[in-house]
Amino acid sequence: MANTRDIKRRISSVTNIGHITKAMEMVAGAKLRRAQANVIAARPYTLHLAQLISRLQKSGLEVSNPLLETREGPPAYIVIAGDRGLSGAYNANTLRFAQEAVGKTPGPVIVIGRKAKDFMSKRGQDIIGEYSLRFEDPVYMDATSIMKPLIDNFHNGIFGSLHLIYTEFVSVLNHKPTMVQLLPIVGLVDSEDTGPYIYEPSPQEVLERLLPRYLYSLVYQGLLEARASEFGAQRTAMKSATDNANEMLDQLTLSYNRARQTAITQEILEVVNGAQALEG
Amino acid sequence: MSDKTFILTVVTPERRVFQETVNMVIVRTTDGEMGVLPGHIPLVAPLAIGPLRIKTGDDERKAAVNGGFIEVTAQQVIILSESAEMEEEIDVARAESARQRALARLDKRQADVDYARAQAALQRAIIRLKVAGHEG
Repeated sequence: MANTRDIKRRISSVTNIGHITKAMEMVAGAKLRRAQANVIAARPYTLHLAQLISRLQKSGLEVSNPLLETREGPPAYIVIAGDRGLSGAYNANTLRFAQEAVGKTPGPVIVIGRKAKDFMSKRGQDIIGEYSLRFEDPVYMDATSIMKPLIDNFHNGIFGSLHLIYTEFVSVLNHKPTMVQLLPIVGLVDSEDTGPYIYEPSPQEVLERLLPRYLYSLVYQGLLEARASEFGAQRTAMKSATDNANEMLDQLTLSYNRARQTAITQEILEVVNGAQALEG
Repeated sequence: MSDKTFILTVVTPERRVFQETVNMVIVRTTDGEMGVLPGHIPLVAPLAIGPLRIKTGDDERKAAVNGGFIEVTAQQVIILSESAEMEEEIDVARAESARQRALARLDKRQADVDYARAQAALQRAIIRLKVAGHEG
């Protein structure tokens, strides 16, 4: 049996670890709440844009745009993962999902987050763009600076379609890796028919301005959802680390008490034996 | 002023900036200033970087809107913009330093300066300052 001093040392180090993971859990929790609020705040804008586009398409007016047309060429993928670990299986799940998708129909990737970059470059994928989420909240400008050059690349025929892979924030405990198609633009929400509109200066021009903004907002949404999922996973991971530390602490305390008891018993025995020896 | 009203909503990717019942809005579209009163025909138009004026009764409020769209329907008006601030939210010091930066960039006349972007940045800063009541 280990001696009491060793056990005491382990108890204090496990206690420290528990404090740290507990603090990290609280920090992740606070960040999660903010990230969640951001996800919800971003939804109306994307929805309104999608409705405007689908209404315009259904209006019967003659409009077209290269961003809506299917074309030849390999697919490209934007992969969003974290910049660091400590978030349970979040990065592993997202990247395994990405690997499957990219493996099925190979094409160049754009990586967001250091973990995505490390993973994809280790597997020899063709990386045509890389960004970092840093440790701040994503802002809309991040989405525009990522997506703007990609729209140009699509126009130049560098890839035939573009897909966004990220982890959807379904709820605090449920995060699901998903892939959505960005280009060509498909699957717009249905809008109720609200009668004819006037489009100024022309329907064509309005569409031209709508489409890129819609894409930016989709990427922005993806960044926010990925962030919220990461914090959710991080909080869960830190919570189970704290729970484990507490459990370990209970066991260590038990064996510490046992060791102490044994030492006392031993001492009493020695005293009694000594006394008996003197008497005898 | 007429007692007819409609709901005006200003939405950006980051938040809902404004949602209230109002009497009239004046926006700057890419074709010029446009006033919208209740009962306006349904319309969608792109916006320029410009001020937004909102009239409710005798009260007038202002906002700086950085492009986007205006959608007018029978019941409501929605403004979708990549960023927008009400006059009281504008950070004057920040807008002023943005204006200086944009001017400096335009002044340099270097090949690597993206003129269109610097112009737009300047425009945004000027509108923000104007709406906040600090003429540059």
